[in-house]
Amino acid sequence: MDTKKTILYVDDEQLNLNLFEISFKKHYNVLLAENGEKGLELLDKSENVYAVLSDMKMPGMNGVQFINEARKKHKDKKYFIITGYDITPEISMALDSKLITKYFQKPYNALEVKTALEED
Amino acid sequence: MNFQLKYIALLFLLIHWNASAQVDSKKIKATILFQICEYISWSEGKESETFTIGVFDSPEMFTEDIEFLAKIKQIKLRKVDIKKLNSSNTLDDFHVLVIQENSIKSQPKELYLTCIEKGILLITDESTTPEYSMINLKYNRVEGNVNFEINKKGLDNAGLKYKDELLLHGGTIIDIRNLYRESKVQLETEVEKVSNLQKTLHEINKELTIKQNTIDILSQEIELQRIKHTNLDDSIKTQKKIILKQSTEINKKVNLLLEAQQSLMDLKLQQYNLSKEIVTKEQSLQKLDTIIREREFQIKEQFDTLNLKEQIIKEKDKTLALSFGFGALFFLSAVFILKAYRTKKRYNAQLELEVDKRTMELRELNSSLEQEIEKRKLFEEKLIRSERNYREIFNSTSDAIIVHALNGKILDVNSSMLNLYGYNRNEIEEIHVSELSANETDFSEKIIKHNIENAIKDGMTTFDWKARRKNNECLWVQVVLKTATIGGEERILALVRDIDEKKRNELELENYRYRLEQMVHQRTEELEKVNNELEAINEELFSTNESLLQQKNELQATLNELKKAQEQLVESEKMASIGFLAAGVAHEINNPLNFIQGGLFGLTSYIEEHLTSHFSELKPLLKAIDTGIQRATNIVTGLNHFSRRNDTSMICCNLDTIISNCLVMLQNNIKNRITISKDIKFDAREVTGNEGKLHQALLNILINATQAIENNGVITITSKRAGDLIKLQISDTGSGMDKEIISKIFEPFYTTKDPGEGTGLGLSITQKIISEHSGSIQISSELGKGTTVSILLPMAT
Repeated sequence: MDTKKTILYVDDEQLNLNLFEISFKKHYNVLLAENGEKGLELLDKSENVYAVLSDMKMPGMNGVQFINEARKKHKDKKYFIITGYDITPEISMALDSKLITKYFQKPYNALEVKTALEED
Repeated sequence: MNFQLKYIALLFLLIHWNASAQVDSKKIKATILFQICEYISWSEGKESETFTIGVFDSPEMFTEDIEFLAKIKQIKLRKVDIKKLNSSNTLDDFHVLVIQENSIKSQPKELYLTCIEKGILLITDESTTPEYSMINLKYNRVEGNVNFEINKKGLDNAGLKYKDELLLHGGTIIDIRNLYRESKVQLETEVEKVSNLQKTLHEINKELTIKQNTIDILSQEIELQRIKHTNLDDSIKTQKKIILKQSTEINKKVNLLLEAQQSLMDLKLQQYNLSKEIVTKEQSLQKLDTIIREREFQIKEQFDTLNLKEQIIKEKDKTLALSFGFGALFFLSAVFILKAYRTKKRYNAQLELEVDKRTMELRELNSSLEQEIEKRKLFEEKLIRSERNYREIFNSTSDAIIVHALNGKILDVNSSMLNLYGYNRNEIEEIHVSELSANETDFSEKIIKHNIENAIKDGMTTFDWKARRKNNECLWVQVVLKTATIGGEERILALVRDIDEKKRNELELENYRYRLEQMVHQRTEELEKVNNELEAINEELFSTNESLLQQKNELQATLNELKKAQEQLVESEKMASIGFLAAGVAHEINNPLNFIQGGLFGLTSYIEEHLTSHFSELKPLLKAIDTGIQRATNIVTGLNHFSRRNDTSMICCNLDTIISNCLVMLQNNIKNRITISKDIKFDAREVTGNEGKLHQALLNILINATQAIENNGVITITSKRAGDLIKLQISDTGSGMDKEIISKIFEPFYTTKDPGEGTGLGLSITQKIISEHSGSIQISSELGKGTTVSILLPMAT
């Protein structure tokens, strides 16, 4: 019985993906994707993805665009943005329109993120 | 040769003789032509039997003469053949060609060259281009002979030779050079003429300009004249004013005169009264006279009666004497009669005595009466004389005096009146006063009566009147009507003075004055109109001026605002570009920081889990890495916050955080030099605003604080509640500022720093941001001690 929730992390930097996995694999099932497209594929394939966390700057779709697409089919999931940038209008709009629950700035505090994931 | 010479000489003589007899020049030319041909030798190709002369015939050409001569003469012992030509003929066999200028259409040069080519002697008649002929005949009208010019070059080119004797016959060699020189000289003369003409033109132009100048001067003079005229007009106006003044003065004088006249009239009336008194006295005298006469008469009568009585007595005496004779008889009776006679005698003597007394008395009376009569006569004479004198005066006054009754009937006039009105003395008594007045409504009987009534009411009245002479002529007079009692009767005295001329002058003056008034009125109206127009224009100009000034001010204000906005824009652009850079940098740094962070986290958990024993040793190292990450993150965050501009949202900002961020960014300036003392009260740190802008505002203040402190110092940052506001104070122990600098500190571009060190915009932007946040900012400073910046911001609700 796997009581761990599944979370998806999308980032174009391999190093970031690795670190994220290491940091969160204890508590969660971590799915990784390199870009928005692959992220969407994974979402469709996998069942019960609990939360989606995405970087902003990616080739093809950026983070917000990816989440927009993802939300069309998977509305029930939690969505977050993790980015090296300061808050941009796009991100703030996404926050306002409840597209994403929260946004984190890199370097993120893993505990902070965990807390955000757990709260409802 | 000799024969020919002789012939030539003859011909020469003939020519001259003929010239004096005015021989036809054509004939001469023909003759000369033949002669010339004798002295010319052609080239070998022309040794034909006949000597051919080609003539381009024209009305002026001496063709007939040539033909005539050809019949009788030979040239070079050959028969002469004359051929008339037009241009199309071929010229091969000719020896000579004779041509006039207008004979052919082709250019003289062409023909000349053709002749040269073909070795033909070209003789031209009166040609103006002798350079294109070989021999040119010229008739000299003045001297009456024919000359010819020889173009030596042409002859040479044509292969023709001439004998020098030819020159004896009036030939001259044409030197082309001379020709050229001549033509050059001609040209020069022409050029000179042209230059002369130009000079004259120039002079004429000068004259023109002079005349124009004079015209200008004249027009200026005209202007001056106009000005003079206006001046004259002004002077005329002043003159008119003077005239008005004078006329008023004249009026005054006239009034004075009238008064004097009136007084004169009074005197005259007095005079008249006196004369009337005299008249009454005369009358009384007359009465006395009559009384005296009566008395006289009575006395005479008495005397007569007395005389009669005497006579009677005498008669009685006679009878007595008679009776005595008879009474001799009657002695007794005679005694009685004698007694009676004695008594009668005594009675008679008594009577006589009485009579004598009476007669003596009467004589005395008589003499006294006679004396009185004498006196009275003398008095009468005096009276008469005085009456005459007064009458003289009455008549001699220049004014007419009319005495009339209240009803208007004329009783007495003086001679001046008769003169004035043109009547005789006997006509006057028939006339009524109205006949002496003009036959117009203004001078009707009604008015006369009215005047008379006035005179009676007031005693005297004066007025101007239009009088009528006997001949119906009218004239203006001044009339003084006065009531007077003359001989107990009420009379009206009219003193009439001729003021015709004066009145006419007055009327004219009146007219003139009226016209002047009209003119002045007109002029003033015109001036008023012009004035109004000018005022209207002035008002318009004024209002446009005002609106222009307004516009200018508005434009100025707008310009200033634009300048401010431009500068702020420049600053914002700078900031934006910095922000952009900062964002990029931040992101790039964030990623590596992320790796470090992630790595650290992983390591920490691994060590905690698997290397617990080493954890306490490794902990400080891990901590060091963590600290590094934190610090780096802070700087990046600070930078991000600072460059956060695009977002204009007003969110709840934490002043503490903002200030900390700013201080982080100024670490370089602050480290080891300035001490920071920060005390942000818990309840005085949250404001609603734009994070980025607030960062910028506070950063500017902090930068100024750090720059104010030269070496070492303290910056104190405090914040506390003040009602609904938060009071934030930033003080430094820097060099401070004087009042002048403080007053200008918020001005854009005002800076105490060197050029290039600062834009002078920092505090102005800060002020703007604070005011956008509904706050206020104040600066207090003391030179040498430091500066304190106080900011009031509304608390976040």
